Amino acid sequence: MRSSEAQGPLTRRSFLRGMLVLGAGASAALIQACGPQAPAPPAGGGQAPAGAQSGAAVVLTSTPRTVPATQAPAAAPTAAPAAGAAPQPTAAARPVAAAGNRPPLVRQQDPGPPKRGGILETSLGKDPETLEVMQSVNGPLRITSSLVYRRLVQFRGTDYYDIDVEPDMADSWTVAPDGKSMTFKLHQGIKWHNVPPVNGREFTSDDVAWTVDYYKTKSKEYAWLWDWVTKVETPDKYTVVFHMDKPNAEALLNMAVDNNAILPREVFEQYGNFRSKMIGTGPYIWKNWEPGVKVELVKNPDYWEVSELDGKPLPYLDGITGYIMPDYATRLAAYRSGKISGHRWGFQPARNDVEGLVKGMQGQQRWDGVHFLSGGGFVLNISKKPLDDLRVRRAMSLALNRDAIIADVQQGAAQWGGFISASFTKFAWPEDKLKGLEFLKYNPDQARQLVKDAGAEGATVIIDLHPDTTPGTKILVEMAQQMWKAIGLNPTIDPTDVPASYAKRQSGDFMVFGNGVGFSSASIDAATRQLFHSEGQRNYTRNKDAEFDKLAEAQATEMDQEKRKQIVDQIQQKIYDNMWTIPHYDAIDTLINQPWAKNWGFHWQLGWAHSERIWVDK
Amino acid sequence: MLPVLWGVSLIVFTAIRLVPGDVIMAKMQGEFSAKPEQLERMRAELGLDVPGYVQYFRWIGGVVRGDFGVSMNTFRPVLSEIISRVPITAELAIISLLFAIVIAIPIGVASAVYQDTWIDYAGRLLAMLTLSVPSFVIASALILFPSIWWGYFPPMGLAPLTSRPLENLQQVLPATVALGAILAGQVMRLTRSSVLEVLRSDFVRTARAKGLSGLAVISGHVLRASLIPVVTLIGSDFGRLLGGTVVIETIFAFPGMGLLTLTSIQLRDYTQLQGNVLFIAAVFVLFNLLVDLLYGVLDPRIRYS
Repeated sequence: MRSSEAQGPLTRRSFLRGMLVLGAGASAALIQACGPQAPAPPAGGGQAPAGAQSGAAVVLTSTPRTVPATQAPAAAPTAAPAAGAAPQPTAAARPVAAAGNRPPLVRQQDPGPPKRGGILETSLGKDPETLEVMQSVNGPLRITSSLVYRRLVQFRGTDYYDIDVEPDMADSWTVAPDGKSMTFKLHQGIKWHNVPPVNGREFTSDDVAWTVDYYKTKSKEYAWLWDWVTKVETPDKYTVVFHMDKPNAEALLNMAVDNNAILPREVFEQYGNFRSKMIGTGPYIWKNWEPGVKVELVKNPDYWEVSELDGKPLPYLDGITGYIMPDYATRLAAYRSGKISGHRWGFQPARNDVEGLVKGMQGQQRWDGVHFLSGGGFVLNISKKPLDDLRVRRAMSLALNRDAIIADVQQGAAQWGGFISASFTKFAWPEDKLKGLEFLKYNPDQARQLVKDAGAEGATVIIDLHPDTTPGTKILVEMAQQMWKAIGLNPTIDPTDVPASYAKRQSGDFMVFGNGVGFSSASIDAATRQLFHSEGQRNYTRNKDAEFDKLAEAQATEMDQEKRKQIVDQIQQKIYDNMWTIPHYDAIDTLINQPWAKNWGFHWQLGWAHSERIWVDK
Repeated sequence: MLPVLWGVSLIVFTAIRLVPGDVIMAKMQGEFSAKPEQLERMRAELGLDVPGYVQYFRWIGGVVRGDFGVSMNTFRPVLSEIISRVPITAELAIISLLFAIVIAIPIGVASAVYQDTWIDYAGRLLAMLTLSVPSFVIASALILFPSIWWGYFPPMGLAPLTSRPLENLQQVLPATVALGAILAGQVMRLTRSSVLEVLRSDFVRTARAKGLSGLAVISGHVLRASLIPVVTLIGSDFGRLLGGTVVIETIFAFPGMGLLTLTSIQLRDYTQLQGNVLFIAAVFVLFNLLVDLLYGVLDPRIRYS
């Protein structure tokens, strides 16, 4: 043993020299090991290969700009079906044969044969926090509850953007000629889950009436889903009639939204709420929830739908388990190791990560496209100086180099954003048109002049920014700050968090939203009337334009899709003319599935359309 | 202890209410389709419609009776949430601590005893690395690289320690390594410097002069005297660990106190956050007391009257 005073054979200098050599060698090895990334696939407009390709991902790319002929079937016309008629399949779709008395599905399915049994394992970005989907905006809760509850109608899911509906618990519906009533014929033989206190009794029209009343009187957050209904009639067990003061262009859409569950009264009567029990008519029964760990659902043995592929009752799976993984890297690792079959909320892996994931992995199913439920660009509070001056708002738009932003923030995986999300494929202005608009073109000189003319040089513009699931938002805001500074404004970023940000939106104590606006439904009404109407629930811009109000009200009640499109065109023109928001880009996101997850379609509604038809083949 | 806890309760109660936004804003986020009267009704149901001091006295009155209230987000009792999370965090903290102690103290002692040899440099390099690399980097690496190299992903959730101990240890091991690494680095360095100081003491020279073996000198004389500052460090760090380590819990999806506290802040869940902070404060105070008492055991010269 050496004393503390003794000198060892290794001096400090020689040790440091050795470490330097070792460090240099390790760095060289690291640089060598980190080879160049695989090139990113072209953004948008890609083809959908017929099946898995050896060593490559199956790429399903759909963008609002083009729909190549060989891509997955396009959405059918969106007009509400004529009285007494079931929804008609499009020419491009390959209808699946009807089973029992159900009308045929119009979307493409994996041809099978399906494999029965097994558990689909997936990840959830956060804990559901509650079981009350009708009182919460929680994404994972909506995902999991959509496996338990059903609705009168459901989204068809022919592709990601398809917002047309087809029958769910209702077999068919008719709309009165004046648009002020809708009659639904319910599917017979549907049972509630055989779980107390409902105990598997039959689903009837009374359940629908009760649900509507519950939403209108007790749901604090989603009363709007049904407040257009003035009266509900139930002439018999399998018929429901909704009466309304005026037509509602989004009535069917509202009914298909996953928050709009048909509820059993017994749970409310026994517990006074839906916090502790989730009992529905869906293909899966809520089995277990370990807060912070996982959610488990098991197959409903009494489910009422029959497979058109093998003629046996659905679902194919024995259950679905959602592991709660708040961390992005953890979800990536779980996918890479095959632990999870895919992810539908809060995943959207970054482009480089997707390339890394599919490199060496066989047959991954992949979808690239503009993400729904977002948009709106930078929202401006036009009641605050200098944003009350149109010249300043136009200048801020002219100052943005959108191509540079797309290149730096999204590595090219984005397209120019408009005044409503590009994912509204039938309504949003195409990118070509946006690029031709005078005040969306990059022109810093004109911007500077406008700022000078408005006397706004040096004016402070505060940009709110809260943490986002997409890291690009911070870079976007910082770039915008630099670009606005370059035209003579004094922009500052105010970091905040989500509740504080929304409190400011409500109180009007903000100038610019860096994070844009989120939506929970593919609703044109939400993207227009709710956002910009002077009485709109989300009129963050604080604008009061009577002409706009008329347009916004008109689109909400226009049942003719072509006419509605024309109104929405005018709405977009109005927003552009007044620059109430400054669009930047619509990101192109990627969703990805393991090759063994069959029929797990990519659809905007958080990806769970037709969950009863998913199977696992591994 | 009671004055400290009372002060903490006042601070946390006030601080969270000074932050803009409340639980309604957090829950509803972008979905402001609810009418203003509906929002007010929601606030009234949560007891947020009364003045702040009334809210405080209602809450603290309940705490004194053992009722910490219900979470404004999940509506589950605050105390039951804490009780369900504490064992997870406690297990992580204890195993991390044991890992740190078992690794760090022997290395720190060896490093001091064999000062300026390759053993010393290796130990100091290891300490430097564990201190320099953030725990979330270690944690992410422990998750990512096994999935890439071997297709391995640790089992999700936490199996009960009592009924499935091996599975439980398999699940917590990567997390405890990530969590314990920084503490190990700190303990290593502190142990080394403390032992070096004690090795120069007269009583150690005397022990050697008496002919005692090296191991006997270290274990019988040096170690005990060197450990006082190390115990202080471990005690204060254990309190921090018990408060929860958010990053590790997030990465490994362990529903512990850290994640609960973070979520409470993000969602402005006042009652849950107040309960959590009060609990963490109590743990800190208790552990500081235990550390103080331990001094007397380690060093007979320290006695409390």
